[in-house]
Amino acid sequence: MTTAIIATRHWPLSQRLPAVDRLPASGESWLTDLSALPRMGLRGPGTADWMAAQGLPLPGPIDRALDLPGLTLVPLGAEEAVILSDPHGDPGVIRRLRDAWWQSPGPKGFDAYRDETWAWFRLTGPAAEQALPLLTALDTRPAAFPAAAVAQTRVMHMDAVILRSADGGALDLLFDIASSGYALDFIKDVIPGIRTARLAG
Amino acid sequence: MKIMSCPLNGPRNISEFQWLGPVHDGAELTAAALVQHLFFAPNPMGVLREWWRHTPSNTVFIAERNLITDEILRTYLKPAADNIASVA
Amino acid sequence: MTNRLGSGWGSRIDRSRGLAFTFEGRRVAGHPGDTIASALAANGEWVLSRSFKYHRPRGILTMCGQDANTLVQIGEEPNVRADLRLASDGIAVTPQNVKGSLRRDRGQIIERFGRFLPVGFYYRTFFGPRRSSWLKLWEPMIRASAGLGTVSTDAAPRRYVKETRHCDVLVVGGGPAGLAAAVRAAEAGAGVILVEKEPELGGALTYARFATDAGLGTRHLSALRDRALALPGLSVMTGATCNGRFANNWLPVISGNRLVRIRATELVLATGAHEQPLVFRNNDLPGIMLSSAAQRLMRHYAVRPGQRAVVYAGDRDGYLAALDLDDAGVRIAAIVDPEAEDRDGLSEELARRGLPIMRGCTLTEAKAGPGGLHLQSVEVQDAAGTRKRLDCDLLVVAGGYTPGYQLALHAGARLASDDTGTRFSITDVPAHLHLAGAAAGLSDLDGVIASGEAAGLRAAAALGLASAPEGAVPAACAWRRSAPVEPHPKGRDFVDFDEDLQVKDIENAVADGYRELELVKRYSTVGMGPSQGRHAALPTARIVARKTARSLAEVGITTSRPPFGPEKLGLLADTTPERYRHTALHPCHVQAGARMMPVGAWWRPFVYPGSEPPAEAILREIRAVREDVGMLDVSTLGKLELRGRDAAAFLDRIYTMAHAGQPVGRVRYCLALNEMGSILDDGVAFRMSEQHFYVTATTGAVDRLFAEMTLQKAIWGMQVDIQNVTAAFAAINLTGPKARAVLQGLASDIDFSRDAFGFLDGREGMLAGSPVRVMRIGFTGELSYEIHLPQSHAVGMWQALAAAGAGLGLRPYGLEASRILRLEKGHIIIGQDTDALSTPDQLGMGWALSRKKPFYTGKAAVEARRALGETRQLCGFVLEGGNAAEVGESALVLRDGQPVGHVTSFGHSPSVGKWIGLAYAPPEQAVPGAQIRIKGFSGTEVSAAVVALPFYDPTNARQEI
Repeated sequence: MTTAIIATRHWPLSQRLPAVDRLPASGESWLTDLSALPRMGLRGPGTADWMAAQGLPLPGPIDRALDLPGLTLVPLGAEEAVILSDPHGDPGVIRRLRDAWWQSPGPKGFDAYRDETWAWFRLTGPAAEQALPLLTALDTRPAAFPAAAVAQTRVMHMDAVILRSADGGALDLLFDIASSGYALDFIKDVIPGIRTARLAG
Repeated sequence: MKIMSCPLNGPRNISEFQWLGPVHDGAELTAAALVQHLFFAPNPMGVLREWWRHTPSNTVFIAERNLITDEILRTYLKPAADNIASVA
Repeated sequence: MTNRLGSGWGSRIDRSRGLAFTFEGRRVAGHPGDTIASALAANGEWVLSRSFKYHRPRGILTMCGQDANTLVQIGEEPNVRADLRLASDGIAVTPQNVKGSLRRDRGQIIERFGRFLPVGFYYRTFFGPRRSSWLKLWEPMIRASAGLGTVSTDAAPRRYVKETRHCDVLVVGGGPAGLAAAVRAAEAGAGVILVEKEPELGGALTYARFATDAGLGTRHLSALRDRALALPGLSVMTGATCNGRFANNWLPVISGNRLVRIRATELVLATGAHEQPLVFRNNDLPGIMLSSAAQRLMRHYAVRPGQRAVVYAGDRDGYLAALDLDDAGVRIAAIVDPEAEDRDGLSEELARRGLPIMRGCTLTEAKAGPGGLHLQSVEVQDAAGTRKRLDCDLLVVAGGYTPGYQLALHAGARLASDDTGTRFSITDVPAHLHLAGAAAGLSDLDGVIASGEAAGLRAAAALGLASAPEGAVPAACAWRRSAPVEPHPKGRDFVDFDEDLQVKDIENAVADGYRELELVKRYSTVGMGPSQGRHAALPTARIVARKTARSLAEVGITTSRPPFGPEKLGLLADTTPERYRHTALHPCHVQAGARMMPVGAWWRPFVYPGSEPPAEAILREIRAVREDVGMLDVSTLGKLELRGRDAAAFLDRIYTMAHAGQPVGRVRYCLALNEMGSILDDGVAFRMSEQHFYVTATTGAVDRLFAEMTLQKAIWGMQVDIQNVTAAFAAINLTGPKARAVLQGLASDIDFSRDAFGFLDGREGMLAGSPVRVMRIGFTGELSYEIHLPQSHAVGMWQALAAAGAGLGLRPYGLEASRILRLEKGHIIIGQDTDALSTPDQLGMGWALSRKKPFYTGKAAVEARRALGETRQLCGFVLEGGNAAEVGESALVLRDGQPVGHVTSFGHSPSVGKWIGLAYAPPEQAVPGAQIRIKGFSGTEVSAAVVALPFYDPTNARQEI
């Protein structure tokens, strides 16, 4: 995708969730749809070298995410990773990385279209943590799934990536974007009373 | 629910995996060998090598499974030395 | 009238408050904490149900849900175990399997015909008198009387919750052994979950007596409970039943409407032992119960189990129960002990209390009072054969124990017999599993607790948290021999209460030729009722052993499988929302009033009716595409990115056509076969650069194809990145003579003119401010552009197209119109016109098979199948006259009345004004000019003319303008 995009983009839950400017305060139980936020994924030969050249250490262990200014680096394989923007950070960080990638000569991996393949949900608050056993069969005990942990597993009967934030207070889910509505229904069913919103891009 | 160990992601419930069939040797198939290959599945009283895929990470690997005890002995990525397709 | 005991009894009831419910319409008073059965017993109601076959009256036997005598119906809920379910105010409880009332059940007449209902009688009966007798006479009669309870078909849906938990050690059973094991393991640092099916921890410590000192159990219980609750690493679940053990210590635990799947690294089974009844004539009468049942009634619910009791002490616990009964003021007529000598060291205490003991005696028969509803006396026989009658309204049976073997056997352990050769023990316990307490064969309290501690330590040691204890815990005293199982000449000596099977039924099964226990089970149905052989397994095995001259261990039991106890189907089903997938254009379809239909998990527009009937709207959509322009959301189409050094070579091996040499910017049809030479999937491949192919696949097959590709890439070791981007890209099919005009009305850097963008070309660029990949392909037979773009841009593009096409007659169209449009062109749909045996040759697609390539998947099979010849060919047909309603997909094609093919697609073509379709027919008939006969749905045959494809625009000129 080239960078000069002028059309308006739409996201599956635009009509079902109210837009907010900031992530909800910690301590309350929320589901926030972050699908509209910038992210960038690379895969294939050259990915690791290109990222290392940008100061993004890959390969690291594939079950740990790394927070850097303005972004979170999520390794998914020896030559695959996704970079999530910091919801309250500089939105230009991902944009500049993407521009740099377009202008780089190869090999540099391939664009994995991660801003389009996946929905991005963030769960925060005590009810979310308690509901983890209802969402996935992964071992999510603190020792097995600590802060900054990443797992590629099944969540809500779908293939998904689940990560725990570096401060341990949030859980991020990345999964099939076409299942956004289903995932929202599922979470509202197993965590009745959870508040829901979306962060506009 | 059995546990299968993905070589990259570690032990997981077997519901995260897809079975892709037995590992065959790489010989090109003659017509006679074709019938054997298609319609007679290997079923040894012992260990069978099988292809499996971890669907969330799309990792394809080989598992050695004892068909009598259903015990999975080891799982590993295919060694590069076993590539059978020559590239033009 | 009440059977309540005074203070000091009734640990589970709150006497300061009361409640009332109805049983068969009669008011029953009780207290919070009572179960339905305990409240009924307190009110003198001892008959709870009627048995399955003979409709004999049944009552409390185990008082802990381990028998099926207590199944009742509460409102809409059938099969509730009355001895487990708490009584609550105002519920209406009714008995099951009853015609009329429980006391005067008309069904009991069947017992008079008992001799016509021997074991396996149903295999040899119900065959006459006429051929229709089964359907018209017997089956309705049996159906009306079969089953327990009634199911309401309009009951309100209930919510069930499923979760998964992980732990280091799971301890099943919260009695003394389980508590000791859990505490030990948690103290060593393990994360422990302790599961107990009763509402409180303690197991036998809450109701049993262990010595003349009645308080011994309670003191142990307090100590263990306090230690358990003080440990943060020990999580306790009460009222939770562990219902099975699956691979790698995966165990379902059921608690109310919640199913918790637990993955445990180490498993401790402290599942106790099931007390066994005795086999003798009329051993099923209300008033006959196990010693533990009598103690539960007294200790938990303060219910006096009877006025005058006989106690059968086949075990030390019988004597201890007699002491409890004496303390509760029950008159003891006699304690009957089959052993000639005192083995239990309690003679002094019994003599002190003046309780009579009959040594060396057995029970031969029980008798009911008038009405046959309750025990009135038992007959005891001594070693010399003299018989004596004892009047009593309560018979307490301590028949010995069988270890709680079920979960261990699920895990692969086996049953053996203990030293006496008459009782089961568990052996061959697999790794990561530890037995404790009575399940391990121990019976004295100190030994049980010590074995629990040892099991907890072994589990912790296996986790590396402690060092393993050495040696096994010795049993201070063994269980006693089990009494022999001999038939009574007059029968009614029940081995299996659920199935009403007597000793002679098991003997007759063996005599009928079924010597193996698995066959005895299936022939007689022993152990197949709700108790699942809990009480029937041991006597059945002993009878079969005796009749076939084998040992108990050699006979064993039938394979034990989950579930351990009953489980509601709602717990197994998923009550969370069903999976669905929406394309990015879903809001546009909803806003346009589309009627949506499911395609797998996706939802797609079927038609956009507007204010017209759907059939009219479909015609309008077809006409729009043929004369103006239409747009179809094809976002569900499979899409794969193949990128990298070997991308072209890889495509060449997977698909049948030549892709290695495909020019950049060209789109080529691709056909994938499986190794058998049958069609797997089709699509198009757009070569976007030397090492980049964008490939489409069908909605239904893309996931399977993607898995196949990933596997073959690993096998061939090629350097190509394959990504399934189906949901990432939306796709819109813009089709019709005015399609070009629509696109040229939008801002773009792509030249859409005919010369610059020909049929089967592909272009990349910007359109209306969005990045797009556009391919000119043919499916409808009109000028078509398939526009692929990132899904977040789809809504904007749809709206831009609608605006640009407003003056050109552009309308959206749905799946039904699309189906007809492609049918008019004779295009196949994978999975509809193809099946597992369809080859390219059968579909006239031999042109898609490259002759030059040395290899593609399925090539060898295609050639081998060609040599065999084809028996069918897909052809186009037109109905000539006849009733079109008779014909449709799956209608058979006949030759000389025999099926030789079938119709795969059918519909009315407005463009050619005929009813058209595709069908498989024999090759010699599948040629234009021939006739085929189709069997209509009502049975009449219809004639159809085979014609050349396509039906519409035979030169395909319209798609290439």
